[in-house]
Amino acid sequence: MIKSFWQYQLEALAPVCVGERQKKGTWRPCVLTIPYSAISGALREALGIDRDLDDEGKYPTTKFLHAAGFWTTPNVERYIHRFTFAPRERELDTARLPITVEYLDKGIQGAVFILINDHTAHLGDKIPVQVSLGAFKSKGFGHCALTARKRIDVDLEKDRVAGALKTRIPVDCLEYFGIPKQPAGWLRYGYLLEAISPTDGVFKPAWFEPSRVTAPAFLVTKGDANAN
Amino acid sequence: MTMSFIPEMHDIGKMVDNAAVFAAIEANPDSSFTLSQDRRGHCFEWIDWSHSKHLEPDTLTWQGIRYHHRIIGARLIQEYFWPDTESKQRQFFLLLADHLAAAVARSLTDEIDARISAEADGVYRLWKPEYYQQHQKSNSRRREWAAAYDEESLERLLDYVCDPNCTSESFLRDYAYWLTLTPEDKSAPRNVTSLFTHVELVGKFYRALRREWTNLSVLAPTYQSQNAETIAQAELRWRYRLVECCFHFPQTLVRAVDLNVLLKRQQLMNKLQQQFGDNVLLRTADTVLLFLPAEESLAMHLLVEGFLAAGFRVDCRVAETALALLDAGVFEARGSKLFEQRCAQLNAPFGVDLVALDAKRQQLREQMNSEHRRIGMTARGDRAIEERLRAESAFVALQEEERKVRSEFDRVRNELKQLPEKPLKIDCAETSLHPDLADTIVPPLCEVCQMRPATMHWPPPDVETDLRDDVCAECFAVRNMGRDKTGKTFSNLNKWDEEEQSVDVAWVRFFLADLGTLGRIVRGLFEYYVDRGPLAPLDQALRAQAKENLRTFALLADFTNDYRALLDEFFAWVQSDKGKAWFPESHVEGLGDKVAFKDLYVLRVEEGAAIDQVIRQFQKLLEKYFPQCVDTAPVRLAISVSNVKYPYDEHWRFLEKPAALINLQMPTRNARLLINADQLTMLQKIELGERRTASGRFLHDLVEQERISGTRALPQAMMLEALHKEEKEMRAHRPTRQLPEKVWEAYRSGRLTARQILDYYKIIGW
Repeated sequence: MIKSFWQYQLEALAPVCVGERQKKGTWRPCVLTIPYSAISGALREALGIDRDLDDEGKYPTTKFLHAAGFWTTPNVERYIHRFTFAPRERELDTARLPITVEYLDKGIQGAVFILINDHTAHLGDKIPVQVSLGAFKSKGFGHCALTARKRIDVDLEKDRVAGALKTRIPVDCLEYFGIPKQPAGWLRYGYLLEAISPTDGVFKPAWFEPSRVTAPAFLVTKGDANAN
Repeated sequence: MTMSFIPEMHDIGKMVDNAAVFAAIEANPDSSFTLSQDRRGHCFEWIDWSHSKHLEPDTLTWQGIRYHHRIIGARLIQEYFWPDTESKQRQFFLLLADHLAAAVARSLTDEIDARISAEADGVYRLWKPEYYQQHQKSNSRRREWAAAYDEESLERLLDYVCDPNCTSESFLRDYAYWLTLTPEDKSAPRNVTSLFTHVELVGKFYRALRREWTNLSVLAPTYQSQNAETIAQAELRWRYRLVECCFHFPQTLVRAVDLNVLLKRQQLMNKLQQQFGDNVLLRTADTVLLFLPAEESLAMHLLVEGFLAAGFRVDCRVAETALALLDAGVFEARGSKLFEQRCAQLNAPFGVDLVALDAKRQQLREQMNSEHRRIGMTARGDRAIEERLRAESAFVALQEEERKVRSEFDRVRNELKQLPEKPLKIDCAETSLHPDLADTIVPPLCEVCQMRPATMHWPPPDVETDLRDDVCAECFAVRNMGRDKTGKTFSNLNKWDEEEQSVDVAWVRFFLADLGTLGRIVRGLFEYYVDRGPLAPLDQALRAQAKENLRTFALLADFTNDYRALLDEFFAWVQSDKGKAWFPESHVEGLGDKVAFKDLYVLRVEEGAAIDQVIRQFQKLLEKYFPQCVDTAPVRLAISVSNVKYPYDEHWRFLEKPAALINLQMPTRNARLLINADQLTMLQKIELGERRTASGRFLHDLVEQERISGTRALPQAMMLEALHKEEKEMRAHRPTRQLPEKVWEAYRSGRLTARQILDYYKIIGW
């Protein structure tokens, strides 16, 4: 069976803050990969795919756009910076405790893979695509450009290898990336937010990096036995 | 015969200084003991019990002590000389356990054995060769390892064997000192493990093996439908598992109470050890090495269910193979030549075509018969005589060849009898065990572990605070562990957090490398010992064979025991007057007194010199306990210094898996330093002294130059210029010295960068 993907180069035109959830109310570390939820959400927003609300004001349960990625700039942790700001409680007009946020500096590059299906087959016509990735968009964060499209065809019989996963993918969406649910070793579980309406979401279990999986070669680092 | 059987005591004879005891008995005409002709061994065969006044002990344990070397691996269990089945079984499992717990497999060739007869005095610690010598009192003629060195101490030892109150635990406790100093085997290279670890492992293996075999009415033990009538058969036919379990917690360390998760892990590991102690071969702060049957009679889930229920993730490495191949290094078997060779060696008989060998043997016999007939011919004459002589020589040659083929045939057939039906193989797998995960979680998600729905609020209603965290029941339970009356654990840390003035703390963690790395380090040390120690005169092939026969269980256990001793000593230093001078009680938040491994501290620091003290104390202890592996750094130190309010999880991220021997960071000053022992020594030699501010400024310039130029040439030129300038100023009696020569020396050596020098002084020199 063959699965096809668009591979894009992602370039951060502004600082990017794809954060873990808020800790202790004052600290928000960032993740060093591009999770499925972040990039798929950003692309859905930018391209308008999967955004038609049903009668109850919810997003469709069947999604057509599936994307995941990772940063390709070496030693991306060196690009971590922090900024502290004091959010305001608008209703009460009071200040809240200052929050320190980690973000990745602009200029870093990544790779994004989008599953090709009927809805994404003609994405090429729309490049370069500009997306807003992650949090603090109102503060000018997250502005990224997708360029340099390339098509990748993966023969699931031949082109899959065992290695350490480089991104975060919900368990329900593994099949879209040709990843069998049988792991190749240690697994890291976590939860990713899935938007079910413009204002609501639920958390779905996902495989986090560096789970040991059998996957298309571009999604894994080979030979990472000590994926701890 | 009475009392329970204590397998740990089977090698008690190794703690007897035979020479001293013989001399004492011979010198005393009224001795209770009479010496026999046979003066060798550690099974008390040198006492002629029939003529001694002292009665021979009559306990089950004594049977094990006396006769565990009377059985050889290839002897059938039916031929053991005890009349009853139970005694035979007991000896069978004792010897099997003894083989498994040996540091060097018992299969060393006779040639090596014959050439390494020299006895070592006391245990030889691979990572600390002077270990025994430091214990041996220089003014004492008595061997320090000997628990029995004269008649009186011998009688005491024998009486101990007969003590009805004696248990495995009490024996290990009462004789710990001598057991630790006595080697498992006094001949090199088997003298590398302590008797303590060996007998402890024998006890564990014995009970774990025996538990699987409950059919006492059948003489030949059967396990997994593979019966074994000899020890060799059991070693080759019975498959067991080694499982390395590493316990991870999903919690992010947000508040001081989240540190409870480390205590929780220790509690659960203690419980595991209590319940399945015989299956736990090794234990570190977060890992256990389990010895389990291959059948699912002791399922992994049962062992770790407590961890899963508390939300821990368990990463397992599982290796399943025959007992003969089971070793802590077996996890790397897939890529290891060593295990491939061993496997191929043991499986060699499967590659021999016995039918062809038998056919060849038949053919040779027929040829021999034919020649024999020719020899028997009665014709006369010279030609007939010549022909007969030719037939005779051909017959002799055929006879010799047939003998060789027959012996090869018998050897292979006998080896096949020991082996299982299919060739031996090693199965390795990695897997993770997770707590049950919900398919969907409707927000809020637990803020601490992010793995379960947040159903509770922290803190509990009885604590007055404005804070409120949404947490799951498991994280709530962890946070709620051991709350004192004030509603807070880790009171010092909390107190510092609430102080108005800024408080700096150093998170200090000692780290032991994972078992795979440890195994490689220990194997490397053993190989060095074989090449440079008493086996050095042997040729390379024999030395290679000795190296291949290493089993690392006992060595790893000894290593982890020494690591614990190092941690205990550091803990004692913190509590001593010397330690208190730097860290009074109010400055220490140690998890050390609460957890089994005293490996994590949070110390309030007023100045960088306090951090320097911790590093120097670690260096001292490292030199004391592991002088031979400072370079390979199986034991590491990580220190993260910052304001107390800095996120705990950021400290933990740095401390969790330190990469170098010394790992220092001070995020608030943007300093991070990973260095080895040599680099640390060089840095410690540099004294910036009172003018360190000026030096610091200079170092900042150097770092910038290094960064911009990407080479060392420009910074070196800068340094030379500075030194030149300094010299001029000295001449002009203006000693505004900016750059000590030692900085220049350290930098010029090429082993330190300007960044490292600067970072070190950012962390230490404040």
